[in-house]
Amino acid sequence: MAHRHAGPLTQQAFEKLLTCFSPDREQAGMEYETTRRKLIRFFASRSVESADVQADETINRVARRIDEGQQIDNLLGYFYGVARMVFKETIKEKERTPVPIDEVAPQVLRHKAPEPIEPDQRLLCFDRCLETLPPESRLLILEYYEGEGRIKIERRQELADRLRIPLNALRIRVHRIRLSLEQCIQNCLKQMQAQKQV
Amino acid sequence: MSQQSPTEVVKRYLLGVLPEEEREHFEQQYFSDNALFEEVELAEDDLVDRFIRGELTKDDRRLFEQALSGSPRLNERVEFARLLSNKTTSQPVPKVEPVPQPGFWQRLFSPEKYAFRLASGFAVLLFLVGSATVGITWMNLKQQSAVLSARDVELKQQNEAAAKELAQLAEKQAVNDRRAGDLEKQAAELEAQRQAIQQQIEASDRPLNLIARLTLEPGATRGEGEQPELTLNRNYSSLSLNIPLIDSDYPRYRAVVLTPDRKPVSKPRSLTPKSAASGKSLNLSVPLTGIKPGDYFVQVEGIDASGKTTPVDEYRFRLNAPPR
Repeated sequence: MAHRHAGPLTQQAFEKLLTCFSPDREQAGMEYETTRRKLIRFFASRSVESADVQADETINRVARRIDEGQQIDNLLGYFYGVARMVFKETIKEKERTPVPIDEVAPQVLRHKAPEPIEPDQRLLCFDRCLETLPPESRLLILEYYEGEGRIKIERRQELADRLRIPLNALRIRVHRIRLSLEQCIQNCLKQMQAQKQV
Repeated sequence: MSQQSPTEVVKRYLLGVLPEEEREHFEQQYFSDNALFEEVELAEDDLVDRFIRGELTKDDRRLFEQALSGSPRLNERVEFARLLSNKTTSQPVPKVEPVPQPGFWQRLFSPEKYAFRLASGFAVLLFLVGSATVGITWMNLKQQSAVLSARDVELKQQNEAAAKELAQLAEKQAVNDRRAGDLEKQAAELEAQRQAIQQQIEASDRPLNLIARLTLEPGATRGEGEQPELTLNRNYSSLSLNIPLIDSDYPRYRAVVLTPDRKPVSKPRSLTPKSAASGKSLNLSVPLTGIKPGDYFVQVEGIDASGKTTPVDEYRFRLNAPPR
């Protein structure tokens, strides 16, 4: 594992990776985010604890390969192959280090476990993030999930009719708002945890 | 072989019950297909929402809880869904409604106006008390004058109210004009978004490019038992045939798929047998493009070390037309 956790990615390598996704900067950013979510899902579905860390490690490795000049025809297929390799390494590493608890070095024990998240913190972040959404997105997601049973179904159809889009397009639009909201809450909770530990 | 709808495949993947080989194949597909990946994410939203509303079947709920116990990410998603559900069921969502304006009479009898009228009345009263000292002869004239003054005040008040109302109407008109402009802009943006999403939907309607698997049985000409069959599906792009070998021990084999009148529908393939606990077998992959429903059989010949071929066995199977 010569290049495992081989330091942060250079700006140049990252720029090259984005260009491989798309010459259009905005499109490249979206492709990058989607690929990262795919990778997190890949690791999370294999019960890897720090799925996001392994996803970033995978991205770093691919970016370094591109920076070194490797020609990659099928970028997303290549990501999948590297993700599998990173996963296998994670398993091997886990198997290699079965340390009994009484032999753990004191400095390891000194590492603080993440503080549990209080329901109030989560609610606070939820409200904050909801406020940061554009008003039309905020109303759309709240109205989409409002009500129950048949009323909810009818309300969604009304909403789609009002926006003059098919129901499935509405579903996708709300899903994207939901994603950004969830991401905002995760960032907010991380900030709160960091402040607590300071 | 059991056939699954794409939705079922996604659900089984999310619940963690897709066999390893199928899971890897499915993952490879969504890695290269953003529309399919979005379907996976949408299906997970749905699964999480149904879980918190207690709408999953007993089995699905058990599987979901298993997946939940090993996934902090999924736990976070469930917590989020609970908050969202509480937010949207505990309080009505605020709707953008126009603020009702008070009517003319409400404004006329509003507390501020009433005080103003009282003050005016008091002034008139003072005026009357002052004029009483002038003399009885002037009393009637003064009284008339007071009445006229009061009327004048009232008229002034009405004028002021009308002017205010006009100003408010003009302000409202300006606000409405601005809103109309904003709405037009929003409509144009929504239309652009609608077109983009429509394109995505059309893209997501592509076939899933799955591999169908079928295990064959030896003895095509013996006519014993039922033959293996597969119902074709637009999502299948190729067919992987598992061909068990009975009492045969060649280092290599040659296999080709034929119609009942012995016309080949695949290129002859040279295959190396694979060993498993159940015995040796061959794996023949056949692209399904252009293959029609009907009966087929695989002709298998053994190739010895000198390259000489000898017929080994034939394996029949049937491809059914996709359901309408």
